[in-house]
This record gives sequence, structure tokens and C-alpha cells, in this order.
Amino acid sequence: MKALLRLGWITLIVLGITIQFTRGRRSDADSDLMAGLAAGLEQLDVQTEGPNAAGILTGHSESCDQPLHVMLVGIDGAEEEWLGGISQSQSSSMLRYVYLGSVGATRDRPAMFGRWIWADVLFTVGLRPAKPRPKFVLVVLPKACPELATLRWSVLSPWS
Amino acid sequence: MPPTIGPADAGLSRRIGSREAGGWSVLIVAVAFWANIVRGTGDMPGFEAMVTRVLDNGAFDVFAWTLVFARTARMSEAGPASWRQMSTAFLVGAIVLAPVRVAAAAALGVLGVLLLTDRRTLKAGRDVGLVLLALAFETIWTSQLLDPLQVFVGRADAATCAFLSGLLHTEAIAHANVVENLSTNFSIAIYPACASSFPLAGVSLAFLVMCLYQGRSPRAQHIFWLGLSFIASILLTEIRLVLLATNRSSYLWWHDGPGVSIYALAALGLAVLFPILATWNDPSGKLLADVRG
Repeated sequence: MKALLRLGWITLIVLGITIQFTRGRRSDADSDLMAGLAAGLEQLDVQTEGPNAAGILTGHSESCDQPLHVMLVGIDGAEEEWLGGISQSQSSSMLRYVYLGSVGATRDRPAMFGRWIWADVLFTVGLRPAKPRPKFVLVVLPKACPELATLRWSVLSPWS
Repeated sequence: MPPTIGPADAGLSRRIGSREAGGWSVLIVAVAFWANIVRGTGDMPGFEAMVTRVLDNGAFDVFAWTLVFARTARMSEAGPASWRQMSTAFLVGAIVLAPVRVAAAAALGVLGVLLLTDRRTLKAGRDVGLVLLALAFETIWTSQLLDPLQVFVGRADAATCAFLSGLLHTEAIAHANVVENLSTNFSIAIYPACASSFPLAGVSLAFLVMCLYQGRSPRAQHIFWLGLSFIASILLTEIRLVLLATNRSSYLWWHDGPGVSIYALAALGLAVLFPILATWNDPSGKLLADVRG
């Protein structure tokens, strides 16, 4: 009995360490978020240039003369100031907040946080291949091209 | 009625001891806690990176675990382990299979609560229980789950930093979590790990560990000193933020240069000072030697 119990606890320790280090390799799968973003824009037939020093990708769609801008922003609110500046200065633009498969015209912070936690739980139990990053995608679209708003922006930050 | 070993029950000698079961529980949680830290979030660790991550996690975490292991053998009364103890060891082992820090925190919490509520736990076990709960609190407090809270505090820090800069005749303004130094045209953003609230869980842990090392159990009167310790830590962070917001060269010196070590030493000094003051001439406290005796 003693030996069995000890064996059980040793097994748990070894399993725990193994899972920790295996998880590392899994979580690195989506480490290049910018590359993923550029690939997503390509799927939407948007040609990209950049990113610039501020990490902003500029895209050009065939259906619109004006450029669109795409950037990654933390969901924790630390970049609120910067985000506020973008919202106010872009009166000729429409914004799209894309995070883990959801797209919104306004930023729903609790919903984003909830999706992040749920995706992290799924990743932890092995039901999601990549660890979700706590960064959503902000798409700044020119108001002059309303058809751009109908594109499937969720590909920039898919659920899975 | 807790089971005891007696000559009439030879079968009990085949059962695992309560101290050994407790030791396994602590070992399982400790391995998971440190494996998660050593693993970090980047690539597979090189030795130097591993050591850096351990040190970055805070001196008091090492200090706390040293205290835990020093007392593990005396956590509970001798005798066969109860089902509760054995199942807790398996429960915490199952929890930490989830490779996230929050899981380690949950396991620390479960084990801490068990130690504090088990009738057979001795004083050393209650000390260990308190330290495990403090470690759990620190782990949760510094996790990404609480980043929105730290960002919220970071905004207050930005306003305080601008106010303090004004007292030093430096024109600065704060908007959201950004401090803009108008005199030098330099600005900083206060991110979660830079907020004054971020180190407070570590300060609590340091306070507890220092008290326990001196053989004192936490008491209501210590809350006053813990509060002072918090205020000192917050003030130190605000001073650092003012220095960071001064200009680019000052920022680099205090954020990436020798200033990092100076800040760490000052924080460590304050974290040690207040528990010592709290337990100074505390006639009701018992020295560790008394407890051991």
C-alpha cells in the first residue's frame, strides 16, 4: 500500500513536469502574431505593407482607394490612452475590434476578457492547439469604403 | 478521533505516516510551482535563463519555500495519515497537472487550507499553511488575470507621478496610464507590472515570512505595520516612476541599468524592515526556540 501511494505521487510529479515542458512547445506555435495578421489580411485579399515602428500594418484593398490600418492592442486596457487617441482622431474611419473569432464595432472589454480566459482554459486542458494571446486586433477602416466593413475580419483573430 | 499507532494494530504500520503524506503534498506543489517558473513563457530554458527566472520571481519566494521545507517534517502529529491527508496529496497533484500558474496557486490554496483546518496540524504546520496561502495569493495577484486591476491602479500612479513631478518643479501631465513630462518631452506608460499595487502581494509574503522566521505568529496588531509596509512600497514605486519619467537617459538607467538593482535592494530593505519593527519588543510573541522546545 505504501509503495503504491508513493508510486502514485511520484507519477504525479513526473507527469506534472512533463506536461509543463510539453506545454511550452505547444504554446510557442502562435508566437509570431504579426505574421499571422498579415496572413489573415491576405486571405481577405488585402495587400499589406509594414508593420511600422509602432507595430501598425497598413493594408490596401482593391475595392478601396484609401488604406486601412491594423494593429494589435492588449486586452488589459494598458494601451487605453493610445486607443482613445485613435478613436478620436479617426472621425473619417470605422473601427472593428476583433478578438478570438468575435468582431465588434465597439470594444466589449468583459466579453474579450471572458473569451481570453475560456480559450486559456481550453488550451490548458488540451482542447485548443495554441495559447491565446491577450491582444485583440484593431482594424481602422476608411468610412468612404463601407463595403470593407462586411469582410470576414474574424480571420485576423480566429477562435481556434 | 484521529487514528493512532498501537501495538494492538500491526496493520497500521503498513500505512503511510501523516508526516510523510504531508511531505509528499508539499513536494508535489513545490515542484509544480518552481517548474512553472523555471519553464517561463519563452523557449525551453537554458541554465542561465532558468536561474534568471527564479531570481526574477523574487527573493522572498525562495525564502518562503526554504521556511516551508524546514518545517515540513514537523507539520502534523506522528501517526498514520488520514484519508483526508492522502486524498489531498492526490488532489493537489491532479490540480497541478494543469500547466498554468493559477493551477499552482489553487493547489497551494487547497493545501494551505487543509493544514490550517486539520486538527492534527502542529504550529509548524499552521506556519506552513499560512505561507502556502500567501504564496497562492501572490501567484494570483501577479497573474494576468488581475492585469485590468493593475492597469486601473497604474492610472492612479500616473496621476500621482505627475503630481510629484510638479512638486519637483517639473511640468508633467497624466492621461490614463501615461505620464508625459512636458519639460523634457518624454513620456512613459505604466503597465501592469509597473503599477504600485503589483508588489504588494510580495510585500505581504515577505512580512509573513519574516515574522515566522522570528518565531512570531501573525497577530492583529501586525496589520498596522503591514499597512505601513504597503505605504512604503507604494511610495518607493512612485519615486521610481518619477525617476523613470524624468528623461530618456534616466529611464534607461532606472529601468534597464544599475537602477534596477538599487530599486530591488531598496524594496527588499523595506520589506524586511517593517516586520522587524512589528515584532520588535513583542513580549507576547514566542521565539522559535521556545516553539521548538
